[in-house]
Amino acid sequence: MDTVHDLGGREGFGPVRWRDEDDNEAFHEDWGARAWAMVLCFLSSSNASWNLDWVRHAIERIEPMDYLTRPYYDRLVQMMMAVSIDDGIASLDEFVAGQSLVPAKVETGKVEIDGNKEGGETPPAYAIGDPVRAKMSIDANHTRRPGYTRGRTGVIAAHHGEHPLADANAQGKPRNEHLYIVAFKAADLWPEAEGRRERVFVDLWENYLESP
Amino acid sequence: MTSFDSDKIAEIHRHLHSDLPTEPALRVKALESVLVEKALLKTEDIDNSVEAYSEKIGPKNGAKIVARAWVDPDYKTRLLADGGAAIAELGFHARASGMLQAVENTASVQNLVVCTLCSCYPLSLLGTSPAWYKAHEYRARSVWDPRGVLQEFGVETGDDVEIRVWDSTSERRFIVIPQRPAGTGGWSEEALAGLVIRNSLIGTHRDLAPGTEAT
Repeated sequence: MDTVHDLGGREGFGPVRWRDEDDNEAFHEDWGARAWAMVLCFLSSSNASWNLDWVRHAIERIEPMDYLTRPYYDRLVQMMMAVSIDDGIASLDEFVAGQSLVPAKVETGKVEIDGNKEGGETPPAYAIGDPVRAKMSIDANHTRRPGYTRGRTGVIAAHHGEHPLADANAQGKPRNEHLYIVAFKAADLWPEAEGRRERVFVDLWENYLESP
Repeated sequence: MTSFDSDKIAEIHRHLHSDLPTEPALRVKALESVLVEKALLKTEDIDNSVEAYSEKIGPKNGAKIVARAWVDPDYKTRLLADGGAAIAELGFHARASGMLQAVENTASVQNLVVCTLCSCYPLSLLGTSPAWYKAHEYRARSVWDPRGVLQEFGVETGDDVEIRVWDSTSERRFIVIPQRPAGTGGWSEEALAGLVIRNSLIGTHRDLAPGTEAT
């Protein structure tokens, strides 16, 4: 889905902000540190029914104006609230009140997903060196296929076996699929890059790709 | 239970936008209060995570890995072949940051790591990512204008240097092995690690300064 989070290649942005940040300054504000620590606990919570890809999608669905203007750690806070409300563990009224208004529901529904499996159940469709094109079609849900690759042709640079497909995981229907590194020449992504010695390497799952 | 319903979560966000205070610190406080009262999170676990990411986990871990790769060519070969197994040799959890891939800078190659879709980064190895890494400008521009971005960071690359940009779209994570500075032959691994700054592990710094060996 093409929401504003899909920033790669978007024009109009100026110089990179905050370039001089100190190596050892992990957090600028206490609330940011608190928010970050909560994300770690939230993701590893033993009675969570959510997964990392759903959580990413929940960030992507923040109102576009909020996504572009609110601070990074604040977006994570809003994600945790939205995911909790969706799950049913807490309500909008409780977050607005800043306190629990009803006893906690104890529910366990953790979705287990398979990790990276060696090799695959099905043979990979592509081999190193094969030209591939990222499909044009746009899905209505979460995907990890950046918009800037759509319809562009690159070359398989590596094959990484089967990995949980982010799109399926974000819909609560986990399955594994072959994952590849696809190398795109800059000029094949952006016509104005003709002649530049630049390549962009993108991890793409098999169903994102087709033979050109 | 999670609905996995994209439109439902967007609708919830619209309500949160309307009803929540705008001040981030107030939102964080409300979130913590509710989730701790619901027993989903424990205050102690949150405190421990704050401490770990403020003090223990950080770019120094990456510097150690790079220094080992500089002094031990066989280690570097193993690191490039299987990042997870190689960092486990140094006592880090092999899956500390998803599946780690090390990419090596040379005289003719400069690597640059980005996550255009969110903010993926080898967190549990290198700590939280710098604010610029999460900034919209970096995410938008590093894939189509990497040389321009590098120039803003003070890195000038000749036309003969290939820029390789790595977009972190899967659960694999990247660490750049910068070039070892000239004039550091015979330096201890610890002294070499002291030369490695965070931006060089991401690719927005190229020439590490040899300076003088701290002993």
